[in-house]
Amino acid sequence: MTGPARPCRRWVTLVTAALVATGCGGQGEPGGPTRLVVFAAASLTEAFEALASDFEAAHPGVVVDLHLAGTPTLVFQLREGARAGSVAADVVATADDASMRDLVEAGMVLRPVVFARNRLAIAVPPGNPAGVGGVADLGRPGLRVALADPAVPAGRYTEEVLARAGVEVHRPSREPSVKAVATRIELGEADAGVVYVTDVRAARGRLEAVAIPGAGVVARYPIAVTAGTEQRQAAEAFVAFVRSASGQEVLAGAGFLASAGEPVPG
Amino acid sequence: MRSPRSALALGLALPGAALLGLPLVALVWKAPWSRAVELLAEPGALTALRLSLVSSMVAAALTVVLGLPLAWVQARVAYRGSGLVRALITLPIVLPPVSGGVALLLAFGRRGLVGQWLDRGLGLGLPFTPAGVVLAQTFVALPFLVLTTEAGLRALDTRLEHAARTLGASRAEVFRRVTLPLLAPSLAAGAALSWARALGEFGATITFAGNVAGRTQTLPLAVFLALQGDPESAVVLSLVLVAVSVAVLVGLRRHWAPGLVR
Amino acid sequence: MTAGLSAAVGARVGELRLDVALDALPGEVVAVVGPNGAGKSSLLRALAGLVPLCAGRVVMGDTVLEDAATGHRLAPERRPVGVAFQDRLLFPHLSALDNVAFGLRCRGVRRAEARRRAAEWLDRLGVGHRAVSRPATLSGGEAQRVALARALAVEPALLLLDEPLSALDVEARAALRRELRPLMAGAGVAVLVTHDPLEAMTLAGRLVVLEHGRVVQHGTPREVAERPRSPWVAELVGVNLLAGQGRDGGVELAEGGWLAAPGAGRGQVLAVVHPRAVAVHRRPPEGSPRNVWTGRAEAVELLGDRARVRVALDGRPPLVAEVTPAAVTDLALDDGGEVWVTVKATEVRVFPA
Repeated sequence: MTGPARPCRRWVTLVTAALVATGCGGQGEPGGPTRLVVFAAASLTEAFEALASDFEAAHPGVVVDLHLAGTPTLVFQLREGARAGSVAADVVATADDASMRDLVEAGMVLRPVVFARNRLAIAVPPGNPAGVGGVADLGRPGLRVALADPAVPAGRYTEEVLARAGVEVHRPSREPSVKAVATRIELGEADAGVVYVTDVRAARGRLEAVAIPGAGVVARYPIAVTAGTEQRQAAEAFVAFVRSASGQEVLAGAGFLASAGEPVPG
Repeated sequence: MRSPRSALALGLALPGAALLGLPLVALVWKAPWSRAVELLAEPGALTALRLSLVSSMVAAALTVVLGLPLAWVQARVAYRGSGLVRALITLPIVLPPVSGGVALLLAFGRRGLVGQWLDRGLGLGLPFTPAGVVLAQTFVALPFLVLTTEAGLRALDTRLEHAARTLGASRAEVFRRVTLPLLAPSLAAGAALSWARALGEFGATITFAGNVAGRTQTLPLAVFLALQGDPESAVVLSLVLVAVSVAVLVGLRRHWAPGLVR
Repeated sequence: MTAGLSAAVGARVGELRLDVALDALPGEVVAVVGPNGAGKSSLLRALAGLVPLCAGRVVMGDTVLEDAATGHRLAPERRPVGVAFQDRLLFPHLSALDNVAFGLRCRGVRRAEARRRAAEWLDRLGVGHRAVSRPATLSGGEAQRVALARALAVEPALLLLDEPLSALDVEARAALRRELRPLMAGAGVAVLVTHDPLEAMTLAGRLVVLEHGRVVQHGTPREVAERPRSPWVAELVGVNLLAGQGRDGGVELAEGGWLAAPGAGRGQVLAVVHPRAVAVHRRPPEGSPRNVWTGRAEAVELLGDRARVRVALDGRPPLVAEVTPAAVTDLALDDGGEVWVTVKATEVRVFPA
């Protein structure tokens, strides 16, 4: 090989090696870390971030790749992934039963189990400047209210609460996720909104809660291992961790209610 | 018989045309035509469409009112810092719309730099109102109007304005009878572009104005939310956006793209 | 105070310093001529108010249009002027009729009346049939006529024409020139900028010659033609102009050689030799003419029934001779061979520089 061509060859080798290295992920490669993709509903943000790091600490060699979004978005992405013939996630945790049921029907998940419950609360800025006392006050004309869009579970739960109380909110802003509702109130753009109690807890003082009396609607969070996962062992270990005492402690710390661990009704 | 050179030109242009055309074709192909009427008849859809049309038109008009003086200064007046102002004008194009929305909140939100005075003093809030939608749309669309009009002004032969003055026209008359009519095509093109941009605006709108059905839920917002629950509805609503845009732009092409009209 | 134009224009236009005094009585047509870059157009623009004065004063009738000393300045639209520009500058978005009516409408004339008068002017200039056409569809000549109509329609006290016929071919120019004379005989002052000597000579009552922003000569066309004061003017009027030192019996030319000319006074002089007085021979001439020189024919220009031959002479400035076209062939003047040139001493006119 002539002079100038030799460095060219070296470059080609380097680039190819780099591509191969990045292309092959840690998935199932002997000697590399195991990558576990976990889909979780937006309202599980703080809790699952803690659970993920605890799990990684307990299981060296496993990296948890956490994807947080509104439940419908997670479902959509799983569906699209399945159509493309690949698996988008190994574990999925939704904010309602109905979505999980759809996934079961589609044959995409195995044996979901409820691992936590949540309650709704009215969130207001610190000091409650608008003086919101309860659900009935949400119907006050002139009050700026933010609510989750019925497309997401939190929105549906909110509609139930309002319907049960016979309250009609005047021109609410419908946010794409419950976290967006919280942000709207934190920024001072909304006087009040309906979020999960866990969201108020996660806001660490930037939000105050006004309790919704009565039994209230309780949100149920199921979790399941996906059917097509290639990390079955790690995935099942994660689910078990979430349901374990230490996992439940983390969830309780974030404000979630415990669950009896019942399977999702079919 | 096409010459080989024009065949080559066509071939090179094909990928660009395909990139623009294929998504549109897919949209039409995969639309749930059987459910289309039902989905469109939903009150939310029609309200969102009306809000989109009205707000984008108002926003386009505002860009002309705000942008024409700005374009004039940039084209005709030499001043220090004009380079900086040019960068400022281009900013909304470069800035991701959501970031634009965040910035608007920080300026005009209820706790914003200016917004707090509006709120406390006048009880005027922009987020959650159609006015807020118009503000967000005007913000993102203004650069299009300014840049197009500025180019038009620079291309104008100022000697025609001198000739008008020697004939007895005051500066105001020169502007009204000579400059403006000659500027009209550029102005129209700028307004058309800015209207189109305003119509499609999403990120800044949802961040700043929120998503209040009937007041700030424009069609792009409706599409986004529909995607969460009913993707077929999202497709149909997107088609409506496309159809409206195409109808207006094609219908007005004589005014904003005179070169294209045979 | 005369009700005419009295202008002393001191202005800076780019690199050029303009320093011109110009006076005209009502009804006069003054032609401003000069080489390219002399400042002719700038002068017009200064009179129109498009270029500010840094010194001087422009008065039209009783109105002071501009006074650099006091800072008083009337904006162009307030001046009683009408301008026809070199590039026409017709408004592309208006029809010919509306172009011509523009000035009238700006001065408060109602639309219908303005259009009526505009139509009359278009007719007077022979383009009435193009009234509804847009400038882009007009031919060069038609556009020029519309531009003139536009300036004339406002019946200005000061009419300023910048090369009004330049874009036309020879015939069209001749035709329009004839038509323009009566039209310009209005009550006002007309200042005409041109580089066409024929235009200047036939349309103007007075000539002002500008070079490098200054007036080098002025007078009636005849005066200027008979006594050109600069090579450019000589070229303009088509004569040979030679500078030199006068002696008894002749002129010692600045560029070398002796020119026999009776009646040449002492001192710096200018000698004018009309091309017709220059005779060209192929052989040494007979008789004893006092001015005989040898040289080579350089350039031959045919002008209809005449021909002009430029002869480079040994050791002295060249001369332009006028001969018949037949002579060009007979003498084979284009072969570059040696020729003899004679000038009768009596046909040399000498005057003080």
